[in-house]
Amino acid sequence: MIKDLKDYRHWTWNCYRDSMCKHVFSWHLRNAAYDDICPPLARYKYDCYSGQGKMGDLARAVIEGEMEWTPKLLDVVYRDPVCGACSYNCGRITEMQPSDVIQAMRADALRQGHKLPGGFGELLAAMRQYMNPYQKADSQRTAWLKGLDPGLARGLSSGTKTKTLLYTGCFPLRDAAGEKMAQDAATVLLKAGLDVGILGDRERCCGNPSLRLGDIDNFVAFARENIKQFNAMGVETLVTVCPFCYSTFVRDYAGVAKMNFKVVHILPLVLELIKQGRLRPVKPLDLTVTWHDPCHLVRLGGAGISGTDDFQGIYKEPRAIIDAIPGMNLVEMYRIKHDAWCCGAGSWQKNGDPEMALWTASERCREAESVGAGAIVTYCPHCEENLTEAASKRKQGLKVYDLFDLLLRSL
Amino acid sequence: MSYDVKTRLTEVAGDGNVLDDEKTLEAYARDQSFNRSCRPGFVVRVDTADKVQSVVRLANEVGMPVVPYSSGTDFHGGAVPSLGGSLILDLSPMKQVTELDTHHWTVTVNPGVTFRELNEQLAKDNLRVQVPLMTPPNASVLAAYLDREAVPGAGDFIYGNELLQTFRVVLPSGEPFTIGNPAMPGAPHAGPMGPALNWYRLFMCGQGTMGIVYNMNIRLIPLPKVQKILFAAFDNLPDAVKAVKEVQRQELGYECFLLNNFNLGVLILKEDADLTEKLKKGGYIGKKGAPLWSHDMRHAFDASRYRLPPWTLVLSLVGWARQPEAKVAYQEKDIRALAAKLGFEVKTTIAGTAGLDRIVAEELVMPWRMQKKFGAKGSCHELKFYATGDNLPKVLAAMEAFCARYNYSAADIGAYVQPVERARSFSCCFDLHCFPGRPDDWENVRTVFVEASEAMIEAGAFFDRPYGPWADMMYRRNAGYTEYLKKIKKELDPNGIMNPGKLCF
Amino acid sequence: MTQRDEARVIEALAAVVGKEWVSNDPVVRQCYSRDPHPSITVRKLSKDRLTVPDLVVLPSSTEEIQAVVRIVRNAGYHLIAMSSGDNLVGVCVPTRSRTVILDLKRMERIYEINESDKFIRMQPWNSYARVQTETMKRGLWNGGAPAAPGTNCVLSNCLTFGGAWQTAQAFSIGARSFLAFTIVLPSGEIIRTGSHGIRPGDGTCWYGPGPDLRGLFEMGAFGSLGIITEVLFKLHAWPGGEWPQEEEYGHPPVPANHRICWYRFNNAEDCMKAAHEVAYAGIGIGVNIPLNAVNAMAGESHQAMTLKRWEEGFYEPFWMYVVLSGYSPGQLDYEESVLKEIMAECRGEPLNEEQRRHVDNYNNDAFRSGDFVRWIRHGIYAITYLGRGPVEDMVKIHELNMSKVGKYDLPSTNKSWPFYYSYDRGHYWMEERDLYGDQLEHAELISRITVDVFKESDKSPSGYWVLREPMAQWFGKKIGPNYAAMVRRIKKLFDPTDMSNPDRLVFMRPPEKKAVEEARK
Repeated sequence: MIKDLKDYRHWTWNCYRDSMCKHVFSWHLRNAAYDDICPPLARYKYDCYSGQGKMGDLARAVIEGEMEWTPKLLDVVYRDPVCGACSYNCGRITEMQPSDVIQAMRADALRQGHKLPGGFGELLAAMRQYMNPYQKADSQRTAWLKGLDPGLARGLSSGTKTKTLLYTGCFPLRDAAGEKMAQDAATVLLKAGLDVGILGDRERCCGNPSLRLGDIDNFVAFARENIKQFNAMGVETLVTVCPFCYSTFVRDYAGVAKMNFKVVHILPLVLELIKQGRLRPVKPLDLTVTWHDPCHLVRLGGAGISGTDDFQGIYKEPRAIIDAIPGMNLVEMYRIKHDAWCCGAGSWQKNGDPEMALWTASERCREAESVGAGAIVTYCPHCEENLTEAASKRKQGLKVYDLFDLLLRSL
Repeated sequence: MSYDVKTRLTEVAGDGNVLDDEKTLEAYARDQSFNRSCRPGFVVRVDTADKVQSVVRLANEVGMPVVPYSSGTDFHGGAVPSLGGSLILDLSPMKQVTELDTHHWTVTVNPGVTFRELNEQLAKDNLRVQVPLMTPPNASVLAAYLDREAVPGAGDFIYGNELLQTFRVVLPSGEPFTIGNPAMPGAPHAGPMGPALNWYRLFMCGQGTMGIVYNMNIRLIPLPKVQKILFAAFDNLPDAVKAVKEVQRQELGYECFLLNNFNLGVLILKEDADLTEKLKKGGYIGKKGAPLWSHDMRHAFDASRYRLPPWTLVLSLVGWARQPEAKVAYQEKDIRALAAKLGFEVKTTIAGTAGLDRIVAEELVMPWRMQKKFGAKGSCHELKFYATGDNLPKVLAAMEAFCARYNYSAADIGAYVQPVERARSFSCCFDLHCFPGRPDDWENVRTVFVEASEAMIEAGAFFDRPYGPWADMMYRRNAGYTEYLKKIKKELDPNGIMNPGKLCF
Repeated sequence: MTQRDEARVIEALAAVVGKEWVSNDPVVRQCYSRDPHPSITVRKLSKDRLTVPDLVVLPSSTEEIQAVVRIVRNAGYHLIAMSSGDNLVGVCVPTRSRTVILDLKRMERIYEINESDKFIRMQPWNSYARVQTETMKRGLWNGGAPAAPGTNCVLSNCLTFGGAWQTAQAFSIGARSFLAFTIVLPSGEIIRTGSHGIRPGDGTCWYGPGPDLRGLFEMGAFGSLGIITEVLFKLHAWPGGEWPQEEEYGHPPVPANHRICWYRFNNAEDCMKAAHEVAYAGIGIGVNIPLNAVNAMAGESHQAMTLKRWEEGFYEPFWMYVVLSGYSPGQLDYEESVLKEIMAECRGEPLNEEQRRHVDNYNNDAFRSGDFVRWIRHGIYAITYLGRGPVEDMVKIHELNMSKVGKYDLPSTNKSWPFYYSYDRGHYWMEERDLYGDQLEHAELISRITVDVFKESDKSPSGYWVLREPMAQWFGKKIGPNYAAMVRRIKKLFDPTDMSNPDRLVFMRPPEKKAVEEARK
């Protein structure tokens, strides 16, 4: 539910400055060297970069008229992957969610007409002009299908005949790696014989970039449009691939309009297909890997934290899929599940502040290396892109894999 | 001038309580330590806090150094003046037990109350005050606790030897000051912390340096309901220390310590009934040392000491009021399992000594036997320090090296090693013995004492109570700290009248 | 102070700590201006501009702090050192203009965990979570967790609250675990205490030599006498093995070789008798009687359920939890057997399954802070009473508080019994009474009640040992004898210019009223 900044006044005063938003939840801490959970705070150290700084001090000061928007304030508020780590910790204890307040601050800044810092301005323009973050025409949304096995591709229904819709999201528009991820997702489902459809060039962005930038009116427009279309089509199950989309549908669409369909992520679905024997990973892959939990699947994947026990998230399923692939040896990093360290690409930081995004990813690679992993496996186009770049720059031999890439190799 | 002072002191302390006769002054001019004797100007006996305040105010006015004296049993020169003409403020008439709380197990005492007196009183309520093993029964409870003397149960504590809770002080200005809760009128005793700052640490070690502590609330424990004393013998110190550390890590037993064969020999040494009586009263060690052992005692000691193992671990399993047998039983089972794992044997006595467990049990409640060590040669000089388990053998080796250099037999070193706080560290007392009547021996042992101390510090010993020659050794190693100690002392005692010449002051 | 002066100070500080670690940006400074204590909330609501510091500096070493202290002193600024800054009592919020906040976040190194002599040597910014994580792996731990966030720094928590642990029955107040400090004095000089003073890093002895200065920097000093830049902290054996991870949300398994036993009582008398008997029986590492309001908050995962169950009376007064820790099954069985014997005598009944299921949520908080911190969920919160005394005072503390609280329209959770923690095997108990408000207007009200309760605490039988907001303002006059004069002398000796965290331990100068009035205009 999107609220105005002033609606968070009570939260801002209630912030206890207890620093829980800054670190791994203490029951879960495994290594003091990896206790940071907030990337901007870990990098810049000043309290203003933390969840409590932004919610309890800056948002409060803006609401109370003690502080005007300045380039520095914009910089602090936007240099944040909105990864939800603060919200998990704070939400667990006090039911407050600093991430939501940060988003409301962004909306406030934008509404007041401030120029967004770094590459965020360009992203905002792209979203307003192209309706997707990659400045591509909608006609290109089918390009990824060309790489799909033609035999399998025939199995894809057009999206009007099926009750189950595969919603790929915008990332296939990004690059070849994005296309491959979409192809792998479709291939896995089709190999299992699932009856699934796609929207092709009629698919629209979920609106996550607009939401994260604070362009709330546009985000709501995206949400309304999508809900209307899926409701009209009689979709029963929407299968999402990109965790950003998944989180946006399950968390942020709530309150915009009634959804007559269920939103699921592809990972639990694929695990179920493996359990049913419809997918059989048999070829051994001799790899020692670690699983990187995308923020949007764990912390930001719950329907809502405030006032509920919904902290489930999707973290058991990918691990079970890895376990199902013969020869795979899973070693865990220190910050996992709800306490996972963001890859740095959250909230479109790769566009807004690529250097910060890469630093964050490099920290994650360092952690993976420290537990003896030869590769990071994940399932998020943004995590994968950012981690791949960081791993390559680090030159430590660490690989980054898309989970379905490995799964398909094993089938 | 002197006459005026005496008159005024008499007005404060009352007739007969201001002494300046030759014999008295001579008696307070020395103790059995290597410290040089120094004759005081007056000895003033006081029995109330008001009198302490008045004397201190007067001393400030006339610029006379004040040396508080509680029981004079520290044997390190602690109560001997460093400057001639000092005023000895004898607190021993302050014998009041001002509060006894049998529900919360605390007692509040003035400085004249001795361990023996207090424990006799407390036994009626099935309670006891814990007594340092090497302390005579006539020692002041307040002074010993203020001086951080470790007790045999110190291994069980997590706060060192701070059995004191709250206390009241007369500042060098003569003003009163209260430590802990009772600073708030009517508030009950509790831990020594506060108000606001942990003031109590500033007044520890060196009674009368930053102020005179005249009333102290301390913690008690009940007398054991069931007790079993166990022993283990070790050929060397590293093995013994290792065993103590493991025992402490598993929190087994209550009192726990190590004695070397010299000191265990002293502990089991039999004496005649007269001497027993004297030892139990605590008057055995005089200003010039103790009477030498009789021929029989010497013979018995020499016969036994070499039969005893080099090191003996003493462990007391204690059951209190609730299910005491069950407690002692599980602890004995656990200690035997641990011993089997570490490869040492748990015994009920050492070298077939009959009744050793009874001797130890008595000593743990009210020690008196260890005073006998002073009679080995007539004078005993304790090197009291802290060392970690790893450093302890190195410290002993450093000491032994100097003994060898000066032909002092290492076999004549008495050693008592007391684990503190689950053996995080060890409070140690290593003794050198000498004949006070033989100047060569006196001088030789004094040289060993001083030179070995320096080497022991280098090996890891920490003399936390740096009296006598240790003051310079310790304080020059921490100049910044020392400077601030001096500044505080100057702030509180601008006239420098309180125990001048002691520690770094 | 002109802008040019400030620029010069910034330049000098930057030369020491690096340009990126000093800032005068209003965005940065704003985030060091607040604390949830109602008195600070009142200051913020009145737009008291003195709450916002002028500069923020992040040093990384003792030597850097030494240089910073000298620059700050020579420039006539004030300095407030801050670790995690979540003291809840406002001691890091500036009270004067020209204040520099020394944020210690970059000082998080753990130099050594000495397994043989059981201590940890570290820089000041190390949280309970960090220390416990690293020590428990090695079969050791610090001996307790406060009912506070695990992100609290061990050092500053023990300095501010003395370290009020749920296992204080065995491990005492946290401040007793200080082994040694390195301190940068307001003069810029460095002193080290205990054996660490003669051999840096040596944990042999925690005293002296001679009279001991360390206590002057503990507890109520709040950095007003010097800044602790390194601490040696005592550790204890941890028989709990590997820390158990929470597989199911809200239900972490209790560590190995530990048992947590919950009992309920029908009246205060039985509860207090049992508390005394358990504490003095020589069993257990923790004996605690939590506020029933705290049970209601910590026991429920969200506030709506807390309030519902509170109104239903589900969370009764007089629930007690006893933490047993053992090195062998024999020890645990013995201690539990004694516990049962006492409970039978004192009519204590084990919590029923439903009650137990709720409080089990925060069992592990006795060792590592987790969900327990839900007690702050009401919004406005203040520790109203923090004294120490015998457990028998419980009823009196309750009556004192109720006489102040009862007449105001505050959330019903305020009709709660106090929290009692056993210290040093029952030799004294720490008494805590908290107040809760859920509207901003409650801040002023609670602030006022808190002062009233403190001011009248001499009518109650217990004492305080840490003087925090708002006590320092008036407490000194009340406590005695010569307390205020002694504090003043010591403060003047260490900090003659009143540079280091002014207005905390003792007021050396009148408050900057003028500036506050101007700001109000």
